[in-house]
Amino acid sequence: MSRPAFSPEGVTLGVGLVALGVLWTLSNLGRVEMLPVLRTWWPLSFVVWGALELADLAIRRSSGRQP
Amino acid sequence: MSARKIGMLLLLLAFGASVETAWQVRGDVRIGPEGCRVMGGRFYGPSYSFEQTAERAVSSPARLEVRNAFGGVRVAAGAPGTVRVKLRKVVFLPTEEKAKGFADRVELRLSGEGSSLSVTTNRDDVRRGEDTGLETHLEIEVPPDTAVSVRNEHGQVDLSGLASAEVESSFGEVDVTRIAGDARVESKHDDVAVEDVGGSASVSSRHGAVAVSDVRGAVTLDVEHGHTAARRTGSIEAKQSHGGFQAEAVAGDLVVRGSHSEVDAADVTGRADVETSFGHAKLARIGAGARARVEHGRVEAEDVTGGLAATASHDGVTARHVDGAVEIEAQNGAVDASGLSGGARVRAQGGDVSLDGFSGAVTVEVDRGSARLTPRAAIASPITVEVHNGDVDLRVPDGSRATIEAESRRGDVRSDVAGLTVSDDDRPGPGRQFRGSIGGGGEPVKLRADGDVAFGAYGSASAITDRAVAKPSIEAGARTLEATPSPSPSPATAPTASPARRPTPSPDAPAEAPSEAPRTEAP
Repeated sequence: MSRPAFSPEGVTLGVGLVALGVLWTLSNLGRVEMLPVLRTWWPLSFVVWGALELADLAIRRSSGRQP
Repeated sequence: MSARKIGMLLLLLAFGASVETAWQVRGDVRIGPEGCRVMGGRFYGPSYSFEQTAERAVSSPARLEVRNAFGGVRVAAGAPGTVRVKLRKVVFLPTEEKAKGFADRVELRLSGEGSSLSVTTNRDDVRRGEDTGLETHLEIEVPPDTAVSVRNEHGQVDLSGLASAEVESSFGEVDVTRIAGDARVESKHDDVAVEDVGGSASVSSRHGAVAVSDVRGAVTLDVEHGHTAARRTGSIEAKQSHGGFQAEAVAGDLVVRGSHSEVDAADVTGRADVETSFGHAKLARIGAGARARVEHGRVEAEDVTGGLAATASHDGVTARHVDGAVEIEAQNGAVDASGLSGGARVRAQGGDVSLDGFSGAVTVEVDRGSARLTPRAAIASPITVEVHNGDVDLRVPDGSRATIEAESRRGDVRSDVAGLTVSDDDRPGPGRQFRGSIGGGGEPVKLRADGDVAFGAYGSASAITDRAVAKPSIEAGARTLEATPSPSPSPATAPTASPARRPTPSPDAPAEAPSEAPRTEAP
């Protein structure tokens, strides 16, 4: 049994955590205001996750594996 | 979809909801050196007080207008010809330096010429676009003959020793006392007290208790969601809803239109006219007649001169010692009356009727109840009783002279009255009917009932005793009014601000304390 190429939700969570950490750090440095940025961009996590799911589906089909 | 993906979806939605919630309350939550401020926290944390004073000469009679937003307003009588204003600025900022910088921009604004003066501040200009808590407390001394108008939004208003007073307040207690002329108060959210007014008084309140006392002129009240107490006043016209209403020692008429209110009135020299619902109406010592109408509540009237008209639904009527004509109607309630000297017309449904110690003509109609009547003395006026689904019992004092018509449709007619002669007794079928006379005949007495009709002997008329109707008394109120000091033109005797029955406009340091005193307040 082979492992999947990647886990879309895992990648999304990882990217989200990285983004949150960077944003928090920038906020502490006084470069950005955290709350307005978060409120504006947090729905992008759904976009990223959805894109990764589509990519995962395409990879599975091209490699002949069942989704 | 796997459980892992569902968990991820829920995690993202929870994160988004948290962000949106934080965004919504962002203006009301702040974590900083002053602590955590939550929900409208502009007035939390450390604060500092600063004072500014001003003085302006005015001609007599003066007129003062005061406008304020957050902070108390106190206006009291001072020296003639001069208005003295003290502004106390309370700034909620973490450090005294920041607070002073902010407070220096807040200034008194005095405008007007001659006898008119307007007092306000520039707080709206200063606070525009800033999120800093600022209280502006105004303490003003004016000539005693000053007519004062105050409009305040958040803070206590305290006026005393003035020619007249007008107050519009949104949030904060209002105290108006020792006013030579008229007083008018409109309050939305807090208690109102008006005391010692030489002219008329008008109070409108939406949420809060109202107390009015020692008013020489007429009183107009419009109170919702609060209790009203009026003592020692002129005539009263009141609208009251969702709160009790009490009036004592009213020198004039009393008119109350209530809703969901209990009404208690005592010692009214004029006429009492009360309508209310879902609460009782109690009237005592009314001088010129009373009318009470209660839906879903009881009417109790005692010592009424000039007649009584009482209507109650879903409860009964009690009347004691009424001089004058009485008209009572009770739906789904009993009628219990005694000491009626001017006759009565009584209608009751779903309750018994008891008339004890009455005189004058009496007419009683009862449905689903019984009637028991005991005249005060020998029968000397017509008595008519009609009862459906009940009995009739008439006590007959010695010395009565009456012509009897009695009919029991399904029961019996009984009598233990000596000297009752029967002239006709010829009813076929069930029941009994007869005509007769007592003492050789006299006033007509007609009793009809579905049940039994009974005549009972009641001893001698002299044995029936009853006290006189008590008159209203407002002497205590009159004494208080005479002792009320009118605003004096002499500064030596000018009334000072009344002792605070409640906390002063601010819990901050007292006015005499050095300014810029740090204020310690729990966050």
